[in-house]
Amino acid sequence: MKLKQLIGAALVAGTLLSGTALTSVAGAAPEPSGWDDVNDAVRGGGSDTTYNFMQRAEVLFNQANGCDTDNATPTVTPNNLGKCLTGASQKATDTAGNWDHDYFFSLFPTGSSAGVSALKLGDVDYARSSRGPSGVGDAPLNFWAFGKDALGIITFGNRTPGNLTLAQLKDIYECRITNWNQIDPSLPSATIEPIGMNSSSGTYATFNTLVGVVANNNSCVKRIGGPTGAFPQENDVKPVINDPLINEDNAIWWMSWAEYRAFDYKRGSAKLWRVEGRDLTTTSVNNSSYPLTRLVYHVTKDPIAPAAPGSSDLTGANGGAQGAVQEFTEFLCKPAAGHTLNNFSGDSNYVELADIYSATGYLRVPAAERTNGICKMETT
Amino acid sequence: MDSPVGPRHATVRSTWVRTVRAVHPRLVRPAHPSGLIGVGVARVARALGALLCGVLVVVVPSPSAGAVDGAGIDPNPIVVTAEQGSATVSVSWSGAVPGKLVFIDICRRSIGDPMFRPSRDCSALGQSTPNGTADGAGVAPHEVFRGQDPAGERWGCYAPDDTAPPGVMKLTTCFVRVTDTSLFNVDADSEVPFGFEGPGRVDPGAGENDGGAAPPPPTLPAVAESATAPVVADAAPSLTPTGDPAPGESIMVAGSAAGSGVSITG
Repeated sequence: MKLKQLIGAALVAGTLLSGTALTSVAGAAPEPSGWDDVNDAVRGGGSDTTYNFMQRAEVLFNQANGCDTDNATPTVTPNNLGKCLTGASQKATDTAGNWDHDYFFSLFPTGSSAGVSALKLGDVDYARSSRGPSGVGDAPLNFWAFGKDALGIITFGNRTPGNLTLAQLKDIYECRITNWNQIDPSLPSATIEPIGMNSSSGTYATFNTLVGVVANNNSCVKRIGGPTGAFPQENDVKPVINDPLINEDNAIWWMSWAEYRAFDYKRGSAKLWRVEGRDLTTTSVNNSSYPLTRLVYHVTKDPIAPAAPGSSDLTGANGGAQGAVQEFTEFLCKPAAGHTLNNFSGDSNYVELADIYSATGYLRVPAAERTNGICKMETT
Repeated sequence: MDSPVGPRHATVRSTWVRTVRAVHPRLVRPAHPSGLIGVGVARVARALGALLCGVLVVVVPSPSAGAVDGAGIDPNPIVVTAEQGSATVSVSWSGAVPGKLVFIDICRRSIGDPMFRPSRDCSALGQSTPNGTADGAGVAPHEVFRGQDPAGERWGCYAPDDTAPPGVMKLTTCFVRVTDTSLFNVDADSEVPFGFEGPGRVDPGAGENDGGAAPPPPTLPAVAESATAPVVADAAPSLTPTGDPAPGESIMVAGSAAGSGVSITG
C-alpha cells in the first residue's frame, strides 16, 4: 500500500536543484522526548505472564515510523549506520512512532519479582510484572498498568468444576480443607492436591495477596517431582499434568485468565471454577465483580514520570536506553489520537495494539481506572 | 438456500468449508439474511460458489477435529424493556472439539464476511468461555449488550427504535459467534444472528475508551536556512498512506534536471 508513496518520496528527495534555499526540517531529535538520534538497545525482563504481550508490543514499537537513517555502507567502525540523519538531510516528520529506531528485546521469563530486582540493579532497562508495587522496596520504580487480567482457579482431568469461596480456597492452601468431599459432600472421598508456584512469579504474589495465604509455605502444597522438587513456573499446566506424583483428577491450581484463554497449549485440559458464585467473563473482569482480578504492569525507573498530572506525556530521561524506555512507555500508554500508522498494515498502532490485547487475552485497563492515557500509574 | 443444513451434514459441510477456504480463501461470502437461519447457509453457498468458478474441489474425509455447529440462542429475538441495557440469553452449540474451551462472542460482522476478523469485529467485553464438554455440545448463559459496544468501539447492537449516540454505528442485527480452542479459530466457528425487540431507548453510550485527546507529539527543531546548502524541490510527502490508486492509475514523479523520470502504474 505504501510502496508508491515511499518510492515517490525517495525519488523526490533525491532530486536536487540549485537555486533558492528552502527551510528544511529536523536538525536534531524531537523535543521534549527521550530520543537522542541514536538506536538504543533496550532489555526487558521479568514476568512470564506478560512476556508474550511485551514481545509483540516491542516488535510493533521497533518497526514504528521515525527518522530517516544513515544507510551509507560503513567502511570504518564506529560509524553512523542506522542512526538518524541530522541537519538538512533529515526529511522525516513523524514523531509519533519510534523516532530514533530504538530496539527492544525481552529476556526469557524469570518471574515478576526477579525482573523488578534486576531493574533496580540495572541488569535490565525495564521490567515486566504481573503484580503491583509491593512496598518501600519498590520505591524507586513506577508501575504502569497497561492491561487487566484475573486469576482463574483450575482443576484438571475428570474433575468437574463447581464453585469455591475465597475462604475455601484459603483453607485448601492452608491445609484445613484436604478432601474434595469437604467442598461437596456428594463427591467421593479424594485428597485435594494443591499445587504451589515459582515464588518469584507475580501471579504467585497476587494469589497470596488476594486469597490471604503464603501458598508455598504449607505442607500439603505440592511441588513438581516430589517434596524436594521445584514449584512449577506459572501459567503452564503441562508439568503439573505430566508429573506422575500428582493425581491430575485431584489437583487444584491457579493461572492467568489471559493466558488461559489465549494459549490452548498452555491451558491443556484445565477447566475454570466459579469463585464466590462468579464466572470468569470479560464483563466480570472488567467491572471487577469476579473477586480475583488484577492489573499487569510495565515497570520503569522512577525518573520516568508524567510531565503533568494525568498526562500520558512523560519526562525524566533525555537519551540512551532510559530515554528509549520513556518513549516506549508513552507508546504503550498514549491515547489512540497520539498514535501514527503502522508501516505494514496501514492501521493505527493503537489498533495494532488492540490486536495484541486480543491475541494475548488481556483487556485494556478500564476507563474508570486509568490515570495517564490508557494506563494506570502506581507507585509505592 | 433458506433451509438449514441438518446436523448429520455438519461434518461434510465443515470439510467443504475448509477445502474451499484452502483453495479460495478470498471467495466472496454471501451475507447472512437476518433472522434465525443457521450457519449452514453461508458455508454451502461458498462451496457452490467454488464449483461455479470452476475450481476443482476435492472432498477430504473429515478428520476427528470438530466444527462448532448448531449454534442457537434463546430467546431470539430478545425482548427488552425500554430501560434494559443488556439481557441474558441461553447459548447452545454442538460439534466443538471435545474438552476444548468454548468461546462465545458478540460480533458486528458475520463470519461469512471475507473482512471478518475476530479481534476487530467482536466486542472485547462481550465474551464468555464455557468449559469444554466431553461430547462437544453444551449450553451456557451469556450476557448480550444492548447499545454501544461496552469496549467503546463505534458500533452497537440496538432495537429498531433505539437511538444510538452520535458517531456510533447502529446495528439491528448482530451475531452471537461460537468457536472452540481459540478466539482466532475461524475454521470451525458458527454464528446466530440476533436482534432486539421492544420499546426504543436513547443509548447513553459506553463512553470513549480510546483515551481521549492526546498530548502534542514532540516537535522537530528547524535547521537554519542556507543559500548554498543542498535543497530539495518539494517537501518530502508524509508517510501517512492515503490509499492505493485505482487499478490502472499511475503516479508520476518530478523529473530530474536531466529530464528523465519514472512512472509507476498500479
